[in-house]
Amino acid sequence: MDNNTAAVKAEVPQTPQKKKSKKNRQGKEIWRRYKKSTPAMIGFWLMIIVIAMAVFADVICPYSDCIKQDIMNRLQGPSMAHWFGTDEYGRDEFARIVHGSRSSLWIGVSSSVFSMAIGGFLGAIAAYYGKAVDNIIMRITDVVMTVPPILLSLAVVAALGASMTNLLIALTVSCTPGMIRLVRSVVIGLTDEEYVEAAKSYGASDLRIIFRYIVPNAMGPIIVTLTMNIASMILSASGLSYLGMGIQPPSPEWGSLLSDAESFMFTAPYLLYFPGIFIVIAALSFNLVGDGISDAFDPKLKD
Amino acid sequence: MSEPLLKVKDLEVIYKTDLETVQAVNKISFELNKGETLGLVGETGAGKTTTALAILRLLPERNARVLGGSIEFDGHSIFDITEKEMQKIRGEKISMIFQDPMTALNPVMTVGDQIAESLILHNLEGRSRDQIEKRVEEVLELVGIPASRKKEYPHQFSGGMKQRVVIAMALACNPLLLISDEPTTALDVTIQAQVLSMMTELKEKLGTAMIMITHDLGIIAETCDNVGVIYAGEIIEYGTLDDIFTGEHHHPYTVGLFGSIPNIEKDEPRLHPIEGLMPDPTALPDGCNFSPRCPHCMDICKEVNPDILVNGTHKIKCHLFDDVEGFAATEKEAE
Repeated sequence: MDNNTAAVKAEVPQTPQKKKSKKNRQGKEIWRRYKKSTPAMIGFWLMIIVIAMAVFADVICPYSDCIKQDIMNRLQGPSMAHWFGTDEYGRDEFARIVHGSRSSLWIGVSSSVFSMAIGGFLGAIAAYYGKAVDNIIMRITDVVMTVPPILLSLAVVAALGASMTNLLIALTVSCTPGMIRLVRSVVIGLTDEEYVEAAKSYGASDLRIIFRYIVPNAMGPIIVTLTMNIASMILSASGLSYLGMGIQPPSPEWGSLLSDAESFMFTAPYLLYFPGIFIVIAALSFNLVGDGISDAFDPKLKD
Repeated sequence: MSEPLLKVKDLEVIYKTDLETVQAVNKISFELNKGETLGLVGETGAGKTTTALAILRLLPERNARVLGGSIEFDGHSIFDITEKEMQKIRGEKISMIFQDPMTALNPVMTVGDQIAESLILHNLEGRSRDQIEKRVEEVLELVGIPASRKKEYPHQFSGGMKQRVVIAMALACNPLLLISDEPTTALDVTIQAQVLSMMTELKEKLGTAMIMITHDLGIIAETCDNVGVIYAGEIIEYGTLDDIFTGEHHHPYTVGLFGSIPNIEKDEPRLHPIEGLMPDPTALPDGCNFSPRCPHCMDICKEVNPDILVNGTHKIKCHLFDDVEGFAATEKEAE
């Protein structure tokens, strides 16, 4: 029944719209499966809240709030005037967290996505073509992996100078080798599958096999790793900020809020709690969403 | 019926690793005309699947080498064309049905999309998306699956239904040649019968030539016009269905194969398997490959590899028939 009505609907529009409606249908199907999982939906709403906070930061409170110093009111606990209290310079912690979400999310999401794109591409090529291609890519990866990630990022930032873009490059570079390894191992497992050989037997080209057969089947573990990376990238960025290599003060960023609060751990612990809670919420929401998406993509877990 | 559709001549394939060389296919030759079915029977590891993969040029590049011989399909030599041209032949003119339907389907694509794949790749008639969908439905109905199920995923189908989907995929472009690699081994007997009779029916309807690879003589008897018995990478007996099943003279291995089938009329307590194992393909014996297991082994068998002896349509590669009337080593003269 359901299938029939869907087919009828899809056949009504003319050819140019046809493709779109098909995509839509698949999207709807995935969304329908996604909705069934409660944790995934909790993660989804948390993610919406965090993203909304970043997008509407200026509406929630003006940027000036988070850099305006008020030395008379330093280290005040949470109150009606300052919801999350004030820091060592009397700046409103709530405003700093709201505005800090912008750089934190941007860094976390974009460095993970970039590293997935680069790592996915290189890993898939290494696994699919094997031999020399595999050797060259993987040996370079090995070399990069021997350098501890934080040192690697430091080196990149030190060479290029401290800025948002360079921080992004540094984090992407340090995150990519792991992604290459993951994708390579997943793809190697998949190239031996009989349906890949079957696809070859009816004349599919290499590119088509990679993008239609291997990538969709590899999506599950990759998405989960991606969302885990987002959380760890937010934390790495804070580490670099702490060393003065990341976001430059006075701009707020969750990681640097946390490291600033360190010296007041016993007198003003709330300065530690609030950024910490938001980092956890952001990380958790991305992880839950990632899990939910990878399940929704897997037709075997359908219904 | 002048030129045969497929001509395999002296095909030799080895698998080479650092440690050893496996002689998988040793000088196999056969021909196949349009609309005919050739059965290839033999034990596991006899080189049946390797032959099939060689025809599609899908041998694993890492370790497989074609040492010699030629494969001509539709007048073109398969080994002389580019990969691009080969991709055009695969799926459109030659398609393959794989052994295990459970793994031959992509789990994240709907069956309709998978059948549509080869139609999209070989879109000669410039079909629109709608026409392709229509063709997908047609093919599905052809193999006995309701068209409404095209939006379902492989795991929602049973084994027999999956095999039908795999067959539908192979038939989508009306190929000239269909290679079925043990299409029914993964199925139970009742489904096996259904699938086989469906394939025979389709073959007659569409005029497709077929190579049926199997180790089941029953399937051969049911579907084939010609039969090649493969042993250790060689065709040791070749002939029409009648030659093999009712003919007078047989290669001792073929006799052994038939002897291994339980006979329902004779009440025998034991089966009669062929004694011994297939020779190690990394170290084939001198002389005839079957000699170590052959009940009629003579001295000459251990030294000289027999020639192919021809009697009409019937070919046997065995010294036993060197002096039998009607058999002549014509292969030699031709060279």
